[in-house]
Amino acid sequence: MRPIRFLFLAAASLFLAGQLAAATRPRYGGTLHIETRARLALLDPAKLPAVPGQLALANQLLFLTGDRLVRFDSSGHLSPSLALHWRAAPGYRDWTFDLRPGVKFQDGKPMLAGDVVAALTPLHPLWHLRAVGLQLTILLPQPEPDLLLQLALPENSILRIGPNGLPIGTGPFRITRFTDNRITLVANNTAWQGRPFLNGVVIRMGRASREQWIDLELGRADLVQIPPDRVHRAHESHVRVWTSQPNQLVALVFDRRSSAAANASVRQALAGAVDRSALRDVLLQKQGEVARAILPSWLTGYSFLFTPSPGPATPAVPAPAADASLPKLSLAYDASDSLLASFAARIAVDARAVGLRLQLQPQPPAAVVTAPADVRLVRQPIESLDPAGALQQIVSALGLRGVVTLPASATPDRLYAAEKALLATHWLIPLVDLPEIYGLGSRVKDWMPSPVPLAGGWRLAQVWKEPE
Amino acid sequence: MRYFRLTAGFAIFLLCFCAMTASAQNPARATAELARRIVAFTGRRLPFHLTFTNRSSAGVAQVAALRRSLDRDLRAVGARLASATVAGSDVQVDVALSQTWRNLVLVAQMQRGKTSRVVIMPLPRFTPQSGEHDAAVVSLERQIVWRQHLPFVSFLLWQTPREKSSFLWVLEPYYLELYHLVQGQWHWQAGAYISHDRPLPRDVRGLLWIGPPGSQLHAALPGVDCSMPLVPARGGLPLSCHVAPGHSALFPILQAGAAAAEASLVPQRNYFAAATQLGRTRLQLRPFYSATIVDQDHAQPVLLAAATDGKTYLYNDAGKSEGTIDGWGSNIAGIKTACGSGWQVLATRPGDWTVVDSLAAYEIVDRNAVAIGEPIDFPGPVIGLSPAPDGRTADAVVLDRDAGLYEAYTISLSCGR
Repeated sequence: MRPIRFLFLAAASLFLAGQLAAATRPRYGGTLHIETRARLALLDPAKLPAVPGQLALANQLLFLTGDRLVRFDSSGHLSPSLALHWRAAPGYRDWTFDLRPGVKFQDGKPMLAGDVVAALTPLHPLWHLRAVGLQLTILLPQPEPDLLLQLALPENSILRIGPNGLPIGTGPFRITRFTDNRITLVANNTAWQGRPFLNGVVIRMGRASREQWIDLELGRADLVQIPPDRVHRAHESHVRVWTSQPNQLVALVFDRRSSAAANASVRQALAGAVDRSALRDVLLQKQGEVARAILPSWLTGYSFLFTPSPGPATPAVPAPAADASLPKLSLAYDASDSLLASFAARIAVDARAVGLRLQLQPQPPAAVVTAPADVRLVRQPIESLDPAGALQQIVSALGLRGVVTLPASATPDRLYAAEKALLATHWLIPLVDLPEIYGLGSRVKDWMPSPVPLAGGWRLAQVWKEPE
Repeated sequence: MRYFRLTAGFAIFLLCFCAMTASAQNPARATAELARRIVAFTGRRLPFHLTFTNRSSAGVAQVAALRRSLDRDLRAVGARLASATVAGSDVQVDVALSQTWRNLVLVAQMQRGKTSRVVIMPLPRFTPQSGEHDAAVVSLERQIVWRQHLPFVSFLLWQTPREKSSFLWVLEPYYLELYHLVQGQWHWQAGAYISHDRPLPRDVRGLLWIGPPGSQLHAALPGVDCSMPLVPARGGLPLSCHVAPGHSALFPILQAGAAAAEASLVPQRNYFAAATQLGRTRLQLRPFYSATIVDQDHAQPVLLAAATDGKTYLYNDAGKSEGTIDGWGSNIAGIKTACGSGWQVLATRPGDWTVVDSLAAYEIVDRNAVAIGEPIDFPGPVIGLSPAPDGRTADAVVLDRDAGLYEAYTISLSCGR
């Protein structure tokens, strides 16, 4: 069995072409050009998008423009950021934070505890936040021993909204322009962590994969997204490719309102029919991992305990010869997502082998959740770095509340038991875990993003660009 | 024996964890708790077979240590461990050492008849053991002096002339600390905070050096110049710091460990200004990351400056550029040894900080760099390099990204092997 790789260096693979060993100090200057498929209409931590690609981009922007009370260092340990010290009263409901003095927002306004209250209150209406000078207290409705894990997430960035509607943070870059297809950021010269080396970042949104690739090859883009099935071509072209830890689960989710889906043996049959290895090896060109569990192995460390579903099983329904009499399930998926479309077609073939007929129903992105379908093929991002929180979010987002009882306290044993129980119902069938994959221009230096995107993002403040 | 050489076995490092997860225990407590829970399931009467598998990136030594710890704790709570043939198939315990992105995890799968149970025990991330690195079997040798999790930018080893007491100064961006070598171990003696009235730039530059007449310790950081007596009186460090004029701290350019010129660090940046001084000559240099002065052939001093454009420039004492050297990184340091022409320049190689670094030695002959010996490798980028006070060796600060540690090395050149 393949051992889990050491996460903060080896697991995020970095293919280097012709890189010499040793050290040159970073240089100041230059603009980094990034292209993405997703488009964002606005950046508001209180209104983060649900579409995975848009959410990923929003999180990156939050890391670029804002800071959080705490952050993850390169070893995954929580370390001070806007908060210098913190303490929790016994019971983990009452937390006190001493904020870092001398921090200023990008418009020059000093950051005070009141600003933190203003930023966090809309995100957490049930929290009671109080500010006195540079001291912040948070009174929680229930114990949260892992509050710091939450506070380190990009959604809890401390931002204000400026008069032009653009967010103002304390982070290394400031957004100066936000149109429907382009975001322009400039370096924050008074950043408390030091001015970034780059002068600015330009993000072109809504770019198709092919356009991104061409721009990378022509030197018009420095950082582009690479679909899994193009990674091999990138390697052949000696393009540097960087892959994150898998942070998105692709799964089949049965609709609990569906009478066809209520048949447990139908669900089990489909779970056993899907050839996950073929999905990963053929459709993903071996990028990503077969999902044994709901939560990825880098988050829990115990996903190896889940064995793949047994081979194709015949559902407990008659298997007549004629196609029309085969049990039929409708499968909805995002029509604009070519990867999911190819998955759906492959799954339909696998399902037929066990006597199930899947009727594919491509839907507009916003309609996938609401369309009347027996089962949905979805991408579900990992939105929390606390395993219990991540499982709760997935269960909630996929409409599976109440299927199993999730543990209130997040001991690993209980979490494993809950995950195992949920998988046993087959209401959710994990298929593959997808990473983020990027191609890098040759002039991009010191590219050291967080292998877990939610823990730090691209970390562009330390990136520099070699002059032409 | 050089005063700053440490004998094997007592290199010690200070581990400073920024934070630990609330659920991660120290390894000893984790294995003890796991043992207790295993025996609570298996009972004390029945012998059982235990397998231990490594699914993590922990090294062989750490895995073996955990296995021994678990075996010891199991026996301490009365477990009857047996081989597979003796134990029979009724009770089986399989323990795997796995990991998450933040810590190690012990996962025990237990089976007793038809009953099974899983126990999952988080552990803190393993840390590398202290120890001596293998000396490179080349002309250049490195000796690790110190390592810690908190970033530091410079260090200085010093021995009192009479008592031969050894001291280690470590300069962090916001703190200066002093360690005293006692019975082969460094003991923290005193520290002093350094305040800054502006945010520090990324890639903080800093340097410790001994100023004339050999009794003052100087420290330079962005925007701040500090000094204090080299031998502090008991009771603390009387560090005196002042804001550098124009927030442009002066760093010495060292020739064999002694300051022979000065350069101004550009405020809020990681490079030095063009103007510096050599004797009474004011030189106009291209912006540079590091500089050093050596005597090349015919005993003519030459100032080498690793410029921000990626080339290293050679300047004569009139400040005129006499050539360039390509293929060097941004850290250079000149040393004076008994080898070759007597003067060598140590230089890193170009690249960026995502890869490990290496250091090579050169002699300057007719304004050309001639490599001597084999380069030596480091576990990460060299982020600081300067001649040591004795001028015969160099001090290097390296970031070991794998281990998350900042490391101090002394670099020496031996010849005649």
